[in-house]
Amino acid sequence: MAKTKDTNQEAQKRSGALGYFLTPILLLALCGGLAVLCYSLAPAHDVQRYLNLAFMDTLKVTSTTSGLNIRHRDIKTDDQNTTEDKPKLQEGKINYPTFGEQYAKLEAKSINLMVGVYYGVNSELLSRGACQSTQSAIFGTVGNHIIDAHVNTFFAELHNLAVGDTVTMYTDYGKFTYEVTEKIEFNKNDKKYVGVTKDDVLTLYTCAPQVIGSSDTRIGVRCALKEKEFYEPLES
Amino acid sequence: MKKASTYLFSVILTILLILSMLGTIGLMLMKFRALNAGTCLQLVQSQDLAERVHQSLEKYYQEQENVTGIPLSVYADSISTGECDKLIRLSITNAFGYMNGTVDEFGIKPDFSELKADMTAFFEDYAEKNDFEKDETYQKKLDEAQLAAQTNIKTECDVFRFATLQEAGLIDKVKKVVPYVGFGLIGCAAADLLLFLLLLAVNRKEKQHVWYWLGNSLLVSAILIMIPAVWLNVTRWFDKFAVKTDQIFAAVTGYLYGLTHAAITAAGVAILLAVCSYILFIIQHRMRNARTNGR
Repeated sequence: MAKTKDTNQEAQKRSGALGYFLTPILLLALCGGLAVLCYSLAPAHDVQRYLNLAFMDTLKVTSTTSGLNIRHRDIKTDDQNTTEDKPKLQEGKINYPTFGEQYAKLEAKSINLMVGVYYGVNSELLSRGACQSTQSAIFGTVGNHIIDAHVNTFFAELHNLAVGDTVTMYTDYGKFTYEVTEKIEFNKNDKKYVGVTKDDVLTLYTCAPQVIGSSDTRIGVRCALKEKEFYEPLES
Repeated sequence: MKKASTYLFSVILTILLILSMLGTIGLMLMKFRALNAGTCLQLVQSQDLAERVHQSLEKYYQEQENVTGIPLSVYADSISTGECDKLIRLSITNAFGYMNGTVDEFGIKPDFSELKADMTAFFEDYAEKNDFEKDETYQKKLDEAQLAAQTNIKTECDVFRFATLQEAGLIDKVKKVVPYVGFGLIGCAAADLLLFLLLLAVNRKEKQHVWYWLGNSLLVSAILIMIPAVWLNVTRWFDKFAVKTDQIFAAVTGYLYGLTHAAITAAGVAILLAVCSYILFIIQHRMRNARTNGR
């Protein structure tokens, strides 16, 4: 009889200890569930909206672009790619550039200009050379090839280009020769010269030189394609 | 825990105590950490924010020289690390002062007289050398350049983006809540005490159990705070913010990681107190058992 009583007491003790151990787990499960429920009801989206508004890439004044991969192609400017015996290819393979890639070189002998042309425009690329708008046509295709650069650096002498002068664009897949047909001047908000064209034209522009402060006026030249030459034939 | 009714009441009171403790810890973090200007002022030094802003401004004006023709040297004195530090601290104290009601007007009005003088001197010198007429256009350009420089420097030094948050209406919303944080904290602390006394009343026949329930409350509330805080820290969740400006990224993530560290510390203290409560419970429980067996 006494033995049975002892066994019962032992079992009670054991279940009591288990209760002490399980109670905090039960409480944690209950309160955790309650917390999850409160979180789903709480205006968490509002908090996220404010975070997005304040901190998610809203600063457009940044001088660099995240993920900008600046690369340079091996571009020959002394006609090494062609020989006199070889017929000049009017159509050929185009190596399309990616953003931040220097895929061309611009030469204007009349103003002693030779500058690398980057595909894409931002302050980082503008500090390195001339930049071609990504909305413009790639050399080798028909359309408006729009290039700009700073007036205080690479395009300082652009205003000296005259009608009839030659501008040559060198790429690693071809050489494109243009002739200046028009000197242009337009407001920075005017899209007349930086829009799409049916003909193969080259538009070079920069800020109008101004004594102080930045100018709202853009000056430059419009050029027409005179000659083109591809280095490699189109792949079948 | 011999009687089911005592156990049930104790569980209910403990759940309420957990919620109340979560409120107490949360409001303490809010009052003494999140809404405290000192937290952000500490970050200015620890994250080297003034130097980061200085470098960013220096790079910006170096690049702008190609566009505006104004050399970096004109801005040099106004964007020195010391000046940036002053402006960052000013914007922080103003924003927190406004939220706490000690400052009436949001936004800083720093003294840019040196910058204005430097820019005027440069413009005048340039105009003289180039025979540029000081007419209306000249004055307009000068005013525009000065205003642009002041706005840019102010914006860059607002590393916590208070101006943007104010434009979005958040600062005013927080300002309305701030006075109630203190009252809320007192209320939660009073609720903690009241619930503890109620637990004591429910467990009056076995008083040692109060320590057990208190330990449970502390442990569960600590775990509920610690799990998300540790997760945010371990996964470096705030590093995913797409902030491209170095100084803002350092300021914002530094502030948020600081908050999670404070939450982890608070939870750690709560766990320590829970362990103490459990030890007290075990000691008292054993003493009571020894007394019962002794009879």
